[in-house]
Amino acid sequence: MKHVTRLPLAAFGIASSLAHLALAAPADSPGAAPATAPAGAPAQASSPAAVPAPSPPTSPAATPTPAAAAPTAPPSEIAPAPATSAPPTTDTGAAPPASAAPLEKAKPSSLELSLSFGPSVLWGEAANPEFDPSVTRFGAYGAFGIGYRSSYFIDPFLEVGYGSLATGEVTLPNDPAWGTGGTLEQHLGVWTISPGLTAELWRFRPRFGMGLAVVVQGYHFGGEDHSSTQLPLLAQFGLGFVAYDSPRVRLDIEARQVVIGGADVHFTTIDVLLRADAIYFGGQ
Amino acid sequence: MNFRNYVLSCAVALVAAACESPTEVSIPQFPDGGLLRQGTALTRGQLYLFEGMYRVDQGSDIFGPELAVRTSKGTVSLLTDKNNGFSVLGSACLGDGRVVVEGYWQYPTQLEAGLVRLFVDPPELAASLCAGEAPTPDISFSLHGTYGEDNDFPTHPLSLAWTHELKPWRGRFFNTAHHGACEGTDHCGASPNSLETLRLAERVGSNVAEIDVRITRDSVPVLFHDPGLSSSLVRGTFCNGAVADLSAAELLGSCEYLYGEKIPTLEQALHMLVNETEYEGAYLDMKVPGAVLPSARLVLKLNEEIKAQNDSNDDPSDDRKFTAAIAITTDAVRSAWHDAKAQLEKEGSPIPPCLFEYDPNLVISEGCTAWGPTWTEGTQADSVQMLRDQGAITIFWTINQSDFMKDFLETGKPNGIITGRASTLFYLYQKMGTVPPAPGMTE
Repeated sequence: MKHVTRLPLAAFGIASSLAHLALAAPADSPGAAPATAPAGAPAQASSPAAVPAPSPPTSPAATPTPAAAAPTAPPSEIAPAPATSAPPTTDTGAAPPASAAPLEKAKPSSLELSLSFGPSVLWGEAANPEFDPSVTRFGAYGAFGIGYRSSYFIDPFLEVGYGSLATGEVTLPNDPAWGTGGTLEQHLGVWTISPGLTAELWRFRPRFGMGLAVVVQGYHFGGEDHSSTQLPLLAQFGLGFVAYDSPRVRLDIEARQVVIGGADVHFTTIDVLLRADAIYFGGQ
Repeated sequence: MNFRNYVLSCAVALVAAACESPTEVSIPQFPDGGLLRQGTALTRGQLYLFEGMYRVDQGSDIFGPELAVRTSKGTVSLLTDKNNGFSVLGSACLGDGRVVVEGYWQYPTQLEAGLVRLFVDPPELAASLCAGEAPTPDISFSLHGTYGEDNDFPTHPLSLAWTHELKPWRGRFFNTAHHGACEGTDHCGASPNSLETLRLAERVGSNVAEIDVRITRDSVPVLFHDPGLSSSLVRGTFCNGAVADLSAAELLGSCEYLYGEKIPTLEQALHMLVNETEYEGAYLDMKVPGAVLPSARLVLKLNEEIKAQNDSNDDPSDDRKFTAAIAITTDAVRSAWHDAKAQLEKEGSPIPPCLFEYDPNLVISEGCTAWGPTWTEGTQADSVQMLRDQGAITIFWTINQSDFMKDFLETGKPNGIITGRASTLFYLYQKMGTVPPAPGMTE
């Protein structure tokens, strides 16, 4: 077994720990024992090391006692072999209780750095169509992230990104109330900082995050440049596909929707996400 | 549900919650413009015939047992306290000698609305109108027709019988529109602080407009409530940030209100109120101190224009009477008001009217002519009377519940109330209000 490094990954470990608690022990996690014996599982004596394994069902004399009638044993002393585990090959053989179960390879854990980049499309309408606004909704969005790739299916991350989302131009009329007309050039950019969670479901990686956006609005009018900012909340969700998976490096293709409700900014990206282990904690 | 599904479901639910649905509005219209298109519109003078209190003989399930009718330029409005309902109608004389009054009714806080079509009865009265006369109503006057629901052709019977005249309200009781006809969550189809909602507010019962004034980066006063360009108020791909951070051009070019209206400047709004409506005044809620001096200058400019217009009138009864008051809402605004007054005095300009919001004892000493207390402090009848004795008026803000309206009308006897439910206030004032003396007059 590889040595498992225990680092105080407070920020990233919280969600993972919660997931761990809620899941108790998943079936594909061989290191964890089930809290109770599965229904139909053979009864275990209080000292499994000293007691032979139950006989196969073909031997009437060795019919297992129902689990409910079995003496209660501390969880750590209950053999994890499920009811479907393969029986011993001999009637008298003392099969090792734990190693007899089929083992799935555990997902290793690591501290993972990620970099994503891709085109974006901004949703929504420009204001005042009578001024004949021209809007380019296609832009680009990139993000740098750091995440804890846990042994369980939920991986927390923190990501910082920037998108140059749209440019526009509008022709303003001369108006005594509003001032001299002219061409107003506009640019919309956004910084995002978002913690969140991803999960690995086969080769798919759903993503969800909530955080803060800094919406940066740039204007050029009458020879003057000016920008303003707004700090609304954001939500992002996406679905990635793990296109390349090596022990230390992974490459995903991901579709992502970012919703910045307070600023009415919604955009979609299709990005390439490169993930690499910075610190590898190992796994079974 | 296992934990994995639970997490994914929560994520989907949160994202769905972040998505905003568009504001739903349904304002029914007769196809092809209805009968109004085929007739000749009644003149403003003829419309006064319709004003009064009416008994609802048929159709009380929509309008209640009684309603008030007021008119404005081109509009006859049926106003009730039932679900804050109103009906906005046009009128025309038809080729066959009938006079039709038709349009839509709506409960603004709900999504209920429908069409209304009424005809003037008796026929002699209709003939008189079609002959260009301006008759006065009596108890023989009634309106008969139908109402419908949604865009369905109106088929349910509606019958209104004129019972008596309205209490004096023009120049007496100030039904003040809370930045427009409806609250932002209503379904009137017009955004707060837009010119469109101010036009509608008059049609649903208001005769004073309360509007929120902020200042752009280049010192243009504009009508906007919040400091920031929140998506709950405005839309536009490039509409972000704070109002104070954007120039007027940037605001105009990048933002519109939720129903597609432009954000108006104060100057545009004042001109619209004076020239297109019969509003009697504007309550300029100064949201920031920086808006005070530019707003005061605009009020002075407007007053000069009104004076020039009135001076050119041969008949003084045609004079336009309109008062825009700077509302002093906070200590910071009060300080800005002092600076503005000093600046205007230095320039030799007159000082525009002001309204003091928070302390009745400072209204007179600040040189203001009106007090604008919050309703949460109670009816304060003694303070209302104390100021009335000194020639100042009181307009409470902001009462939308009919029970509170009744209490304030009966106990406080103010000169006006700010509300987003103008139809209810108009009706209740007519039912139980005390007619205040004209501004500047004591009892």
